[in-house]
Amino acid sequence: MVATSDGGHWIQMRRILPAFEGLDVCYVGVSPEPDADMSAARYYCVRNATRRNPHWFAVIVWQLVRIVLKERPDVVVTTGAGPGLMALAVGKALVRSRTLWIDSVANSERLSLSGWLARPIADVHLVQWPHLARPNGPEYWGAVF
Amino acid sequence: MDAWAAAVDGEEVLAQIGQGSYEPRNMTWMRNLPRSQYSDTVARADLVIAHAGIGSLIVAGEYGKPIVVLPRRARYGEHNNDHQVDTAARLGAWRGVYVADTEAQLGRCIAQARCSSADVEALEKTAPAGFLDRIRLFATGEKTAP
Repeated sequence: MVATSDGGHWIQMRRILPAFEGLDVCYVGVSPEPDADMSAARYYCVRNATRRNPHWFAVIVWQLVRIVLKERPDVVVTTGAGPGLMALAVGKALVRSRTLWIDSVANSERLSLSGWLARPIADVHLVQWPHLARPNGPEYWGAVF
Repeated sequence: MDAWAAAVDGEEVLAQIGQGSYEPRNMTWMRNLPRSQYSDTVARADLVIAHAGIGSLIVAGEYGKPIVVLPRRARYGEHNNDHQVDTAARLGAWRGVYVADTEAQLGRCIAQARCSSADVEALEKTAPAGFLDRIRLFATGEKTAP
């Protein structure tokens, strides 16, 4: 399962999709419609929530619980932000999904708030700038460009 | 941007204004372009002018278009923090990226971007193979190299 917010987060996610070629992938986003090349049957829309409208996080968790129980993803991957963090947490808690957090490449000087919160629930926690990697902390495997 | 659009002759200027309260008078505008329409629009454009959002920079790069960016700043309530200033500093070295630190520099940056007709080399549409390989190994559950 790939669960990612809109805008730059989604655009970064698109650039890593070739990694999942041939695998059974479903998508969770905050836009009402999937991209033209995505199967509508494998796309789920959740509410968007940010630190400006945090009350929506409760709604997202409920939406994600239903999606995760239906899909039972082996793996949950996100490029951020808030909704992606929630997807890792719900996948981990309900079906013990393996979780991958990829912090946005837009965070070049410090980890994002959602990235920091993702630390305890991400099996692999990546940053996209080598100087942000730390021993026993976030790893650097490369970047979306 | 609206004043700039009034002053340029013979150019079609299209604005995506989001939730902004100001409604442009000299540009065709919409609140939000759907993703596919956004990329089609960039593909047809000669120049992109945006904030320093990573999505704007990546899409302009993927189509090999020059882009002028004015980073959003927390002190004007434009974003949570100044990460766009950091992004602009890191990616300002990309060919075809012109960074305006202040609104006052915008006009000069746009002029520079418009005269430099040098082709911008388009960014590959996917992440580098090494990064994709490691993500795939994680997804398929195979052991990743240390």
